[in-house]
Amino acid sequence: MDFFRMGDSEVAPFIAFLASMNREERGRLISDPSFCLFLFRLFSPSTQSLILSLIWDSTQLIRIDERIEPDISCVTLLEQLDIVLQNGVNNTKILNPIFRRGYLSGALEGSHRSSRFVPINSEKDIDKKKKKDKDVVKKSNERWECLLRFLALPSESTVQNVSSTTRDVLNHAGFTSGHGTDIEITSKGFQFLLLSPVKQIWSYMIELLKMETREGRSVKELLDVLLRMALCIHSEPENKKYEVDNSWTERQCNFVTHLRELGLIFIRKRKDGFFYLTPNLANLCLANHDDSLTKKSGSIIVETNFRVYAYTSSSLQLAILSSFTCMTYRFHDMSVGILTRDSVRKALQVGITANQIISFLKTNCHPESLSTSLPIPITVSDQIRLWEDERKRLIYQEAALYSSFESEKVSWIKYICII
Amino acid sequence: MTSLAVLVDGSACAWGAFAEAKREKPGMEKEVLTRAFRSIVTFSNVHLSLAQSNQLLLYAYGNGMSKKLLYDSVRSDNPDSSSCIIKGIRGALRENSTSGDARKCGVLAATLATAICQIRKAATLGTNKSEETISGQKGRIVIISLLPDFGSQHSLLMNLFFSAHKHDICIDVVSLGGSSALLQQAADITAGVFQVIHKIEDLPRILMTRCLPVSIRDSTSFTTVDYRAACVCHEKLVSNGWTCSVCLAVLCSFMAICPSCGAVFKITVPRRKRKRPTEVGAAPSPRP
Repeated sequence: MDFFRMGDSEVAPFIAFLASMNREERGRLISDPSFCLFLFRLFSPSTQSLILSLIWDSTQLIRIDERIEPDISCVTLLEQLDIVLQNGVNNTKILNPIFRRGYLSGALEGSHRSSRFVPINSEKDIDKKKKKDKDVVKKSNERWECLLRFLALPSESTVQNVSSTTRDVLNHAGFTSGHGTDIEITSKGFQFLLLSPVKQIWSYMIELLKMETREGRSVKELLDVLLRMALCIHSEPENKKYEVDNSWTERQCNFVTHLRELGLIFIRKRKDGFFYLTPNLANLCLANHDDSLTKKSGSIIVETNFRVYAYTSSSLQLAILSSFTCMTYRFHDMSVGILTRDSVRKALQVGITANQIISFLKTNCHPESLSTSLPIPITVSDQIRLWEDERKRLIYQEAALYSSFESEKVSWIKYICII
Repeated sequence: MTSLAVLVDGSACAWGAFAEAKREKPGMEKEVLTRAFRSIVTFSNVHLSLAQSNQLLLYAYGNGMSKKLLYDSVRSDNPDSSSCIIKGIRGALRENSTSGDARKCGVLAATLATAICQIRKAATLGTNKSEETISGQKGRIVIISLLPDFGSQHSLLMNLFFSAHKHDICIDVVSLGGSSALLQQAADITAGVFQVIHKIEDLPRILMTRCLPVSIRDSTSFTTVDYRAACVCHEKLVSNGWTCSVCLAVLCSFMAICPSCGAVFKITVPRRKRKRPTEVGAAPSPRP
């Protein structure tokens, strides 16, 4: 159940997925410069520093006994990924020469060139472009919303907006249960909705890759396209368009169409022969530790009296909000709810954690409350945590009870049992 | 997000002399330069590969340069960083070589000031967006210098180093042209690293292991820093000198009018002492 741990664990979900792959396939991925560059970005700063010192300082060898604690966890992680290898002699470890070569050639070429996509420069219609750019961002967000809406409120109309692949992935991931028209969201699915956009896109991608692996297909082809696209991400990615590669296999083409459906890339018409990258794809380049950078302002205000105001008409947001608040009023562009013990406990019972609730409220904060020092009153966040702790008051442990002894002499056994 | 500004010495003359000094055998000068520039490109790319939001600013400093900022990874239209950096450096050197200026000292101050401003700007923009104060270092400046001498810019640069320190910007110096007291001070003031490169092969290693935000830094990189001030009149390093009471300018010899602020000193100096500066030399020419 790595999904539950994902929120607080330090390791990016993609790295965890990579560690679970089989060795041969991982080896093939590591030899690719663009993959090395991408992977390097996801590591924590201490791991990056370790790798850099290993690459450039040939005298550096890892001797486990000389290392301090945080370093050891980095080394074990790198060992799981086959980036650090056991040297055999005198308990030292060395950097995988394949990774070293891959990373170095990637670093020399730069991330954009190693992605091997050809950008198209269109100078002539700049005014038109400006207008289109807004379009790209809006449309890509709409696409991703479609998926979330389908997940939150499965119904006839929302089913039409998502493809069968998406439905399969969500079903395989355990986010939805049931088949055909009879689909329902599970508690795991609700947790998915509460994640930040970065984690949402990542966990969806991981589930997609897991599904492919489970069906016995290699994910290298897909990762190849995805990661190379992610490397192209630049500031304002929606301003650039790239040529569609004609050498893509059919499977890769299908995957690209799927990415288009998710709103990660944007293709105006298929025969145009070029695609745009969207800001949603940029989320894939962010490791867990710089999650906060993508903060977008939302529409929720939380007051100290536990009232929640949501200035939105989005049925998706309201559906999520009503999973842990008690809705009192609903107007056409604004709704009011109260966080009560019962409503929060209802959410906690289906497996949603207090941290997830708080982080959802935080990420969807109204700009007005963002400008204050504490977007969510400390009393409210503390109380939600206390409600969670309430449920953890009892600790269950295996025990055995011996009773109905015939003789008084062995009554001391009882005594021990009570202790 | 971290901004890194790389300041490369843009003096074509100095690069030529450097290539000649470091080549393995005659005719190999080009190799040396390629190696040096390749290291700079790799270093920049490694910085960009640390995180998606990282920013890279490449500057060249030198005489007769119309454009100081050669590459900005955030604002540039061309996403291909490698070719932009190489083209930028090449263009800067070409421009410098045709400028006809043969002064043998670096002109760092203006470029350094722009770099500090840009980093500050990026840092404030970043904090507004994420509503979180970035703790610790706001940005870094890496100076790749060839000429150890900075001529008349001594006091300007000192002021810049202090302001960089005030804004939590760390200055690392990689000197290819021998030790420089001034740049050593820069690194010491801003808690950066000062490294002299003797062999060109060492350049990439030093850059990657010492000058990146994730590098492990030890404070014992240099033990003694020459903190002597340079005098305003002759740019000489002095350990004992005269100080103007108005503008705090350091003078190596007594002058009745401060050359920096123009203050007039009406103190009657004992006759013997007034003689001394003229004996040392570099004073007004003797009257016939």
